[in-house]
Amino acid sequence: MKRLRLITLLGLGILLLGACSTQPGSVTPPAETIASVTKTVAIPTQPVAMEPVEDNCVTCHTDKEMLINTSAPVEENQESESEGVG
Amino acid sequence: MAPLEPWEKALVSTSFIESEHGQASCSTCHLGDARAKDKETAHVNLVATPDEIAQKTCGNCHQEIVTTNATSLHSTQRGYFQVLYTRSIPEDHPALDEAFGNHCASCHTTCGDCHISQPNSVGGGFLDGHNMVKTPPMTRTCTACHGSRVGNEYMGKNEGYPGDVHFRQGRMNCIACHDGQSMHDSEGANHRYEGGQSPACKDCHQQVGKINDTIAQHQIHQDKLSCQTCHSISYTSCDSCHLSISESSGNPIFKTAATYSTFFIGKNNRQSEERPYEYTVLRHIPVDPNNFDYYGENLLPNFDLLPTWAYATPHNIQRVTPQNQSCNACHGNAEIFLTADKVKPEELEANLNIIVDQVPPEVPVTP
Repeated sequence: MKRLRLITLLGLGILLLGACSTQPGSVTPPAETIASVTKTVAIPTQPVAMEPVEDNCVTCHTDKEMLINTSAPVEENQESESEGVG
Repeated sequence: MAPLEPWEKALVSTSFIESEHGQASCSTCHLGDARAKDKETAHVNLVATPDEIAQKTCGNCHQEIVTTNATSLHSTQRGYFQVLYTRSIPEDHPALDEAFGNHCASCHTTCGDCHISQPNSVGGGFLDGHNMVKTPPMTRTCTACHGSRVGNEYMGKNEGYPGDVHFRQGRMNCIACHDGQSMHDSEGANHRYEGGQSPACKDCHQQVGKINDTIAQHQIHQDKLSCQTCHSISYTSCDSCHLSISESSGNPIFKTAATYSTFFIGKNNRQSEERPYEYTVLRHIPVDPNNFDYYGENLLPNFDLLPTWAYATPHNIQRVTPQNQSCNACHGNAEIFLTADKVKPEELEANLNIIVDQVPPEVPVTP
């Protein structure tokens, strides 16, 4: 019985909400919006200055000469101090 | 392969920049300061190996494999801890951990250690200009670490001994048997000889021991002997690896007392459903009670709980070997069995379970 009442109440609620909602076709946009849509936008004659994303990692790590100049030199006497097979 | 030049190790190829992995900015993974104009500033807070936190880097896309790999033996090195801790007591674990961190942890393997760079043992540096190499090249990654025993045996670099038939005739590289799945997933094993054999010889040689197997010896011995007992040849053993820190350079160093070729059949101390064999081949491992003396006194008080002659799977398989040429090449041939007289007196106790007391008797041969 309780369940039936609950379902009836839910059904009524949905009906009421449906009745209150606006019909999509009846919406009239404000005049201001129409004006803004039809307004022509001037195309800039100069390209917009985009701030470049700096990534010097790639610049250096793809440049063989730069890496030769900046990489740490091979240390002298790199002979292992360990003895025997590891 | 000759070590890479210092610049060569860090040269990123344009193919990487154009690849899918190259679309992210370097600092996304490596941090540092990408806007800096000089190397020193750019490298402040640099993370050279971001795959150490793989869940946050590689794992963003490869989540499943990264999660599995995090528990693999390559990643955790649990196998080493299992044997170290068995020979030790909890009070000594911190000192052992310190020694392990200094000398052994470099064997810990991250994603990039196989798929981007070669290991430091061969000089480090990119495999291919930072490109992700899906299949790690054998000699620049696998045997760069597993070289002195597995690599040399497999490729026939031990003078007087041929390489493994799978390499000589099959031209098989490591991943032909040890596929990516098994490298990334140890299936919960705490040691490489725990759990299922992965790979197992029978994965390919499925006819062995079956009713239609024409080799009678397979049927007779199949659960008594590991495959290597009949099909491997002499392999490398080592003695006493002592660890310390160099007084002159401050670098961790080791001194191995001896390296030599052996072939000994002994009892299988890792008997399980997957390794039911009574006999297997044994390799002397470079353990001794004083390995870690530099880090503390008597850090392996339970030294005798594990053998110094360990279960081995030499990677120098041959179809015909000295011991499988006839029944009595093995039966009654005490030379190839690890009997007590071949074990150092101070190691007898540790090896009691694997020493062969009674060599299998000769088989009567009908004329």
